[in-house]
Amino acid sequence: MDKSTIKYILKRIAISLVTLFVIVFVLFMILKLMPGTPFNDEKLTETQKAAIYAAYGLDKPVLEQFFIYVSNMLKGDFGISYAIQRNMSVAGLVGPRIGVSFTLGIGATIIGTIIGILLGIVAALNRNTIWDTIATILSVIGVSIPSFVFCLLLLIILGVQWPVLPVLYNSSNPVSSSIIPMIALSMGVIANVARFTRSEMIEVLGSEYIQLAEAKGISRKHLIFHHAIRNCLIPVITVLGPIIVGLMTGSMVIEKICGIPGLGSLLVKAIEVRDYNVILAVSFLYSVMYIVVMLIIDVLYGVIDPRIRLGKGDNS
Amino acid sequence: MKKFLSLACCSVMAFSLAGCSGSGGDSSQTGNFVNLAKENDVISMDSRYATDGMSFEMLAATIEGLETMDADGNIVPALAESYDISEDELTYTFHLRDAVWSNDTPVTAQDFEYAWNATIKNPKAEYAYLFGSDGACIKNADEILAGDDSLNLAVKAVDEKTFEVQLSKKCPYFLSLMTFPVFYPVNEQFATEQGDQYALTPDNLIANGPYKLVSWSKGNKLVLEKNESYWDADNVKVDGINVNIVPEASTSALDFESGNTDFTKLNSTLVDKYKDNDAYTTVLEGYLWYLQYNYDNEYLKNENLRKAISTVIDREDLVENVLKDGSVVCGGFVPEALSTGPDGKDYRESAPEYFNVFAEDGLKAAQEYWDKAKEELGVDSISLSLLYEPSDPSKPAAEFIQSEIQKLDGITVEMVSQEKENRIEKQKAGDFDMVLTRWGPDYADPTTYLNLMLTGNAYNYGNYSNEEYDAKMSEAANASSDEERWQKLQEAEAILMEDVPVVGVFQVGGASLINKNVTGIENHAVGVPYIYKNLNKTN
Amino acid sequence: MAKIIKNQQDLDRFLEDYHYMPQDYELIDIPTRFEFDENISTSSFMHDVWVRFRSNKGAIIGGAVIILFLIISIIAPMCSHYSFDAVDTAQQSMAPRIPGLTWISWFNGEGGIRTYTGEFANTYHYFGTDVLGRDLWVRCWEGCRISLFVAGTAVVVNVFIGILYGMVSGYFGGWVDAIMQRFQEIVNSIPTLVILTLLLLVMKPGLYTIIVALILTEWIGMARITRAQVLKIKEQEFILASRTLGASGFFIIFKNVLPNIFGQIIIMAMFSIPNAIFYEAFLAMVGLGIPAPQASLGSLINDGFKTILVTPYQVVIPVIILGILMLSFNLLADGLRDAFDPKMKEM
Repeated sequence: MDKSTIKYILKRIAISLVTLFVIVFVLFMILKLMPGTPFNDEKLTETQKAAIYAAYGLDKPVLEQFFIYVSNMLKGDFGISYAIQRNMSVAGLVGPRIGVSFTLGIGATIIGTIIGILLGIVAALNRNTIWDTIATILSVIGVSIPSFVFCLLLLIILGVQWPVLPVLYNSSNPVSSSIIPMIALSMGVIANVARFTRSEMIEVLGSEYIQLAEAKGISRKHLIFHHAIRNCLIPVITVLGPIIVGLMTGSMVIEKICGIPGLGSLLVKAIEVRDYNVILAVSFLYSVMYIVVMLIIDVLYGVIDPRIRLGKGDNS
Repeated sequence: MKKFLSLACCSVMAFSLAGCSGSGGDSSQTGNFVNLAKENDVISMDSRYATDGMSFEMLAATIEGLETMDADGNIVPALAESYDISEDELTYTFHLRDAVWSNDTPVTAQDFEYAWNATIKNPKAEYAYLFGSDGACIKNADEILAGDDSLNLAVKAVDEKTFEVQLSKKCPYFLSLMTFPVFYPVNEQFATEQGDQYALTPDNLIANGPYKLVSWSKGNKLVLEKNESYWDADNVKVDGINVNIVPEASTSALDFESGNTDFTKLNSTLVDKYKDNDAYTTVLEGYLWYLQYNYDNEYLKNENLRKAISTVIDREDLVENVLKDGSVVCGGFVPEALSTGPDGKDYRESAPEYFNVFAEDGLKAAQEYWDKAKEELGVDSISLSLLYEPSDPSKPAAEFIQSEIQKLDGITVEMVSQEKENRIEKQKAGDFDMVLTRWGPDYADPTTYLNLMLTGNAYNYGNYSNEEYDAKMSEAANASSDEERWQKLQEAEAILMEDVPVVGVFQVGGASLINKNVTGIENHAVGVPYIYKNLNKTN
Repeated sequence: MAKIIKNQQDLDRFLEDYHYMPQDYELIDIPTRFEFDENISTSSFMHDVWVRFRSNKGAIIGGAVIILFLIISIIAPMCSHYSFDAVDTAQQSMAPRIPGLTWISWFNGEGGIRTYTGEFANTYHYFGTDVLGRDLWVRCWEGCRISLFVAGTAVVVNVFIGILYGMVSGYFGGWVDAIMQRFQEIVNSIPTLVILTLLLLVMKPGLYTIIVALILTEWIGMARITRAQVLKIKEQEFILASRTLGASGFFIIFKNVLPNIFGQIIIMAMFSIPNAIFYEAFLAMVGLGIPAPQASLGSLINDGFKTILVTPYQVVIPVIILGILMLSFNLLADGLRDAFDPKMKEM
């Protein structure tokens, strides 16, 4: 990495910190606009609700609440949960779920990327043949069969018909009970990666430098693995980045079906019951990951394809 | 690129290898454990904060209060060996048995005194209102709830084993309330030591009941083990309970089929698959779903229109063919199996059934009401909105209700689907024409429902008001005998069903699968939904 | 066309509206001599696209299937004597039964909850019925139409917003890019469900609310892909050439960059269609979707999923319809991609 790249990264990190602050502010304000309350018992009277709000400091002016929240956050205190696990610290609630979701997400990404790239390359090299069609059909199935249907099918086959894997997720034995959800989650990745790889590969194979290399008599294998793949990876990474972030922060449906205590179902539950601090913490975590991944992707552009120059925008 | 690929391959292999060695479930557990699948996680194991059914179940499994319920729903002594009631029924004196907490300190009357005062003086405790005149009617409770901190509840630990409670007025259902977790004891010394960590993890909890919580993986699993220091430990037959949190009923049904789960609830769509299974059972739950009309709507002010709508819904068809999960038609505004009258009969048995014409007859009767209503209102066609929440069983019920109401020519029903949180907000704001809403009983007495329709009651969202009804309810409250009170309550319900500000649609049933070898899963319509003390599993 | 070319101006004007035809073998009016190997007729870009598209069988089949489905989804509910919202508990969860096809075990009407006996002996529900006894043939096609409309509109609008945003951000770079990317990050940080809940405060549930919701949340992906493509393209030689020739920023974006990134965008757009369809079902769950009892493919799949262990056809049929639609969209997309690719000319 040269100096300008490092400078660029440092600058981006500084900007990201400001962005994150704005994000917390926007989220905080938006959550206050939401109708409903974390104390959602039908039987709660207005006076009682006011008392609960006062006890939790939710009756203060919104800006004051925001600054209290931010100053606590800087100390590492993300507040407590109001409605999901009453009075439990948000860090204690979210913490264990991060590991669960990360493992699942990374597993699904690895499976999905490998299969996806292979499918894409096969399709591109055998363009407009039966192999191409098969690869297309496979990847289309991946996006059109909903992951929850696929997951339940796997549970029926591998959990009940031939009981080789447990049906329920078990936090004391996470590996074997993660395989089915991992495969189900990877379907979308396979499809996306395969389609983008195919399209990019076709483009790369048609470009002049490949034709030149071909003309020079470089073997096809060498050509594909040393020249073509590297250049078709950029768009694949672009698609992959947000997908990884999405997968690592959990998938609500799959988590619900397999009973996995992940971040996705936590966020949805938190929004449903208006558990403000939990929504804030999970969204914040998601934003941090998103920003970091986006930064990595932007830097990687430069590494993979030296023609791309970032941070020197005023060249037009 | 090569590096990336080989790294990826390695990790995939690592995953699959680990997968092979790790399959086969939780092998570390030995003994006779019962495996339950539950939809939701526990929200709080602190009896002062718990408000939901699942928390109640786990609290009741680990902590006992003064009284509990047996399998048939009778109030039976738990920690209180016996009790005395004064002549005027305003003072209850409980005599506690020798019981210990799992940290070997004795359970004392002070534990109750502390817990109750700590609850009512804590504004964060949502169920504190149950101490006041909406619940147990304990003396001073209303004043404290109104913000008077100088007072204490009129409850007293006379000595270690004697606990005295004074009421502000007669409360016929007081003992049934003592089974409710908010009235459970809390060990003051332990709770103070744990501070704000109390009850958040198994380490911050002590038990005095049949089981103790040994592990709690949030959102996934709770493990309960038998509490050897429980006073009645001889009658606890299993070594423990595994509670798996499985939000999707299809998955828990699959796990039941694979033989790992012993108990799971079913949703109505799964009933068809399992209704002939030996393991299939249904129970009746406490929740009553009812249709509430908004009196601020110009059309729904009309009594005949309300009657037409209430009659046209073929509720028998709904429970038998749509819900199918053991739900029953509610014949009034007080559900079944809620309360037993002085005559020893269930309230619904002695009260008349309202709107009990179904199918063709119902449609005909409804048509007559609708014709009258059209004449009185001077309209031919109207459009009404129906507010409901898009979850089971509310969604299929609402869709069914819509199609039923639209059988009356000229009524169009516009569906407003709002998740529960928003539905309640809209109800409170009066932003609805008709709403399909529910109410769970707080205590085993018809007033837990009938009070809702009093003029100005906070939950009377439709702004119904009838002086005659209010008068009848206050007559009932001041009745001299239980029989007279019961009579007045039924008369009040009759007035209500003549005005039809609400119509009970169905009482929720719980269809479930229970392993044939497991017995003692006791279900109750009021208070703690399931009590597991008498669980047994034969192999 | 006898025209006198006197000066450079005249020449320019002449060349501007002169079309080369294959039969042009000599140009006598021009002072300079041209020598041609061969005359190639001018054809517009769109004409080339059409010719290339037409020759792609897969794409034609894909397009035909989509049009066919569209037609069925409009006609089928009109021709059927069942209504999409007619609840009849006597006809609950009946299995598919198609006249003439009853010898195939999938369509003989067996295996449902209610059977085709008694008064229903001569009843045929092609796709069976759902748990409330509503005919699924009608509901599936109704749903198909609504889903296609919702997804189509949302995707078109998203592509438009996404392309504009991504291209401006990617091409201009620098502080423009920085600000636009930060804005995107902030919008992206707000959970969709929160946006939807707030949207419910100001809008009534219905078709247009769904489209607004889809647009508010789904443009980000498109913008991201476009930006990445632009970053890749903009340093290439032909852009430099264009810039050297004095082309303005927006000219380059639309004339030089856009045609080159079209392939990726089309793929992205096609893949966002099932997303939009499932998303619509998700909206139905939070109360923003199509109000019941209307159906959409997504809500049919969601509802059918609940009964998958009992009557699997209720989820399988809509999934198959969605699958066929997706396959067609992808074949069509591949064809469009190839057809629009300017580099394909030389092949």
